[in-house]
Amino acid sequence: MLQTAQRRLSRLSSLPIVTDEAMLAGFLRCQRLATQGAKEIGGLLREGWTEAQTAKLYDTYLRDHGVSAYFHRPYAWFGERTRFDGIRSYSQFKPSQRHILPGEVFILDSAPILDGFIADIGFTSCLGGNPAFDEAQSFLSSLRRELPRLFETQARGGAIWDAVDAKIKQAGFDAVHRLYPFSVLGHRVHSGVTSRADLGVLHFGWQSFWSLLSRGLFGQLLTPSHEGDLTGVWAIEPHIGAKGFGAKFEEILIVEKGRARWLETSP
Amino acid sequence: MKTQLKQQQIRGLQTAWLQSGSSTQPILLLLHGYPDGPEIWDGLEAKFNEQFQVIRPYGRGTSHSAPSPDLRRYGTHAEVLDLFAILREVDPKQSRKVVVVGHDLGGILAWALAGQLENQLGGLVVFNSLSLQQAIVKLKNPRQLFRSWYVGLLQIPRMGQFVGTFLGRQLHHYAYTLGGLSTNLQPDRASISRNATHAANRYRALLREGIASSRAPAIRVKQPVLVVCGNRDPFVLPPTIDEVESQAVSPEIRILEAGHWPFLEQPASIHSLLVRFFAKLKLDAPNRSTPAVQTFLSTDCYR
Repeated sequence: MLQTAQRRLSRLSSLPIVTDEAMLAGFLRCQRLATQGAKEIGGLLREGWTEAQTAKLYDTYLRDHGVSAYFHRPYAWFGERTRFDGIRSYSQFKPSQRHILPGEVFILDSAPILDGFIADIGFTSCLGGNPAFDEAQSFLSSLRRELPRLFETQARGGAIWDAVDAKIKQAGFDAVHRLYPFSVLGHRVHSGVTSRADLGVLHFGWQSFWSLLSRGLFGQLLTPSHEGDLTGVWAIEPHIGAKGFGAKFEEILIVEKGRARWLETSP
Repeated sequence: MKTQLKQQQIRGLQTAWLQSGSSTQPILLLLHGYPDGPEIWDGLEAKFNEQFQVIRPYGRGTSHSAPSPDLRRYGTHAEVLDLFAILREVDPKQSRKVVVVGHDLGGILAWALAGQLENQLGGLVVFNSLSLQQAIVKLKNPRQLFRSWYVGLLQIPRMGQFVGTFLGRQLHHYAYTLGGLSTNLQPDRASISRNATHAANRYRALLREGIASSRAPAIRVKQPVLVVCGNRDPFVLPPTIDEVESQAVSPEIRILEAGHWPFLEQPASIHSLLVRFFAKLKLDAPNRSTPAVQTFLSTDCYR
């Protein structure tokens, strides 16, 4: 019943979004800043840092580069928290006092708003060597290559979600994004978003609620029950779980009629 | 030993530091307070530039380090990122230990940086200062509140610029004479306006940051910590051992018969204190687990 309602709502609110080069350049600028910040802070990270301390420095880095509001503030997850073990409520997703130890995997995830453009990136790395992490990375890498093709060939968003879920299971991993709100594999991102008032709830800026709810919510989220037009700008975030850790990537995918491409590799 | 002025754009702002000594030695990072510049450390630099590579950054808004219209750039998080960028420039492999020394506002920054350097930190020395958390708690003490009246005054926007531009001489007289420095030990007056005008914003940023993070748990420094205070300091009450132990595993406190600038008033005592303290530090290369940044999962690794 609920799923049927979600399907209908997603069909109604999946309006095609036309993108032009200037718009894509704005998204790219924002995405590159967020990625650069994650690389910088990930490069500084050392044994003993806490999630809260790491997320604060990442926030400082982004604000120093002109970010004054967020779709969601920077998250940092370490060790078993990268696969959301022990997380029971949304407030527990927030950066904690968990310390990082050598060999542990960490994820930095932020969604800044820069000049009206939202980007949402996920960065996974490891403090030192970890062969299991290399395996997870290799799988995510192959998944990333396949995702544009899935958007080009599948008619329904729900079918893409199912296909990704099956691939993750087949490779022996868990689909950790099932634990995200509405089990989203991705969500649309928009331009023309104001940075006024840096307010929010549970680490999410008011801009995130407004930009998704004002457009009908369900068409904005790539969930198992998504139907309708997929054209537009999506932040895709497959998140997999292995033994003791999770790994994800997140970046913007441009979906046009019959064609899908990662923003970073667009001509 | 030749001292070089180094400058670099760090997150869009010109940032400068003085550098001397060999790049094979451990790093001695000297962080000045207000209204000083890094030249305040000339005496220590001369004594330790053979044992260490001495790095003396200009604080944000001080002389060669450009001011920022954004108040947050004067706070500890932004300044810690600046210091990491300087350290990466000085020691790209991050293979050398860093001994951090801070005085006054530089002491607050030194505590913050020490908590982030983890096992790259060799040791921490703090002169007449407290960590940000300690300072906020200490302000509840009426005696400290009375001594910090100027911090309240500097919360007024542009007050720092006003003081630096128009009251440079008076500020010089007030700060250094009241702080216990005789005229011959005081820095030259021309530097005061240069250093004081914008750097006063550090007080505004730190108070905001301190209030916002007053409930955040303190990071305890595991390496040796030496806290030196003058008992005649008119600006900072000496910290108690309990206060310091809440932030350091093995602190050592020395209270000297001195004012706010003990390293200028009693250079010989400070020198012998530091020689003894540095001798017990383990300054061999840190065993750091470097993040596998070359294998990160993000956009450009798949191209």
